[in-house]
Amino acid sequence: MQKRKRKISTLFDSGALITSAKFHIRKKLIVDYLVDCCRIIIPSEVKHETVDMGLLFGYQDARDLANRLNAGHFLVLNTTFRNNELESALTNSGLENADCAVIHTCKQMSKQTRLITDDHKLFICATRLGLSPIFLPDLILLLVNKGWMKTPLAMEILETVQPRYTKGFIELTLKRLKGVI
Amino acid sequence: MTTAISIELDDQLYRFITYLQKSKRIPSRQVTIDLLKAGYHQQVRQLYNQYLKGEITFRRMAKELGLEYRQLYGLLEELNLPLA
Repeated sequence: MQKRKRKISTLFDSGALITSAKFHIRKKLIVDYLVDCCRIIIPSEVKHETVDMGLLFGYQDARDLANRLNAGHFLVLNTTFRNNELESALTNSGLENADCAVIHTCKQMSKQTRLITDDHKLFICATRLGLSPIFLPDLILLLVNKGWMKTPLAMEILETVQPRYTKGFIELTLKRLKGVI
Repeated sequence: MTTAISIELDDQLYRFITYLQKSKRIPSRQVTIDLLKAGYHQQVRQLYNQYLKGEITFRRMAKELGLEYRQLYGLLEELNLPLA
């Protein structure tokens, strides 16, 4: 009997979540490909920024995210424990309240959880804390490497989100995907 | 949405606006709006550069501009500025 693959545990930050809810590939949103292979958790602060405020401002991606949230495709987690020492260090490093919430929530989760963020400063802070952050394009690469996604689809996704990233950013992921580097 | 506000200008700014008004032949109201917009976009660019270098988070940038996270995402899209 074939063993069922375990979905990748992910905690999404707002920017990466919005990007994944903005672009369609083969008439399907990127986030819909992700829910097939990832267990997606978002902190309540991220829900507020992406869904609640997005709906208030009338963004289509917020409506799409709200639908998926209501359908139970991803889960909202409240930060139940905030370490004061960590909070103070993060604030002194220039992190905002919702940034801290993302870090605290990630620390509450299993060590295998990948933090999906496109925010360089948050990425660095998470790395320094021993968490496992990964940029959205590199999550796509990881999904291919773990056998969850086929290379042609991954390439389409990466090429589609290219305008949201600086020059060379997607190129690096694409070259890794092709095995050139 | 537009909001009307009245502002007091110091002598230097007043002279500059009067000069622009005359040389470009546009109303002083429009000159003032253009100057404010230019200052705003310069501030956006400055914060954006800090964000891209990893000096500040996206949320700090939004806060400094008086925007919600989702509004800043939209603004960067409008300006064709990448997220990472």
